[in-house]
Amino acid sequence: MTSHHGRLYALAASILLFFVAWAVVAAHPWAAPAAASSGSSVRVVTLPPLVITRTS
Amino acid sequence: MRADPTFWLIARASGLTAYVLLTASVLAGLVLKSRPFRGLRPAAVADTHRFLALLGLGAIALHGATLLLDGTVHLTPVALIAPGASPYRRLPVGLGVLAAELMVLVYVSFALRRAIGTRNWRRLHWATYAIFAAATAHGLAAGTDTPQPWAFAIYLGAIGSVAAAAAWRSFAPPLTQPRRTAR
Repeated sequence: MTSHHGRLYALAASILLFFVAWAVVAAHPWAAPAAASSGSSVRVVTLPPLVITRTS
Repeated sequence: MRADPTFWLIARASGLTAYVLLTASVLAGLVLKSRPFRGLRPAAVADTHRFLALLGLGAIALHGATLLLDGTVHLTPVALIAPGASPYRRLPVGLGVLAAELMVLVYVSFALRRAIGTRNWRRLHWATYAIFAAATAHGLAAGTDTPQPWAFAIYLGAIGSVAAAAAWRSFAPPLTQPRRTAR
């Protein structure tokens, strides 16, 4: 017996699964913050401010 | 200039999709056999089980086709048919090819159930466990995303869920068969 509801849910879930997998594989959403924090531009911004002292 | 990574990304995404669909089909088969959810109609579960296997085969076809079209691992059409013919990670890729071919065989056997007999069909269906094991080994050893925590979690979740469902099937009391009446 053909289960139309079961087939529809399975098809929809598998299409969603494929595109989510594609997005995850392509975009590395969990790897991005770690990579950004190690970037040199970010490191410069987060450096402590220099204290300028008068010598003369 | 960097090569277009589209086929490579689709190959990886379709491989993971095929693995999840295979897992779902195995779980549906185990649910059909042990029936832990009494509300589900066995005929509907059987049809969904079969349809999930078909979707999994579709994802495997996409996986193979995009690996051929992409130049990252340099696979040949022969390597996609003959296990062990791949120059890239020979054994794990060979296991994947073998798993896909066995999956086609088991899927085709649905239609030949009457011709080959229910007993032989059941015996052939035991190959599903070998298919799942080979697909897991293929994914873990040949998949380039395996070191990522999310990919490893997918494999761990699949192994855990199939092991739990198989244990349920083994230890749950057998289903009561309808009593045959003497004619």
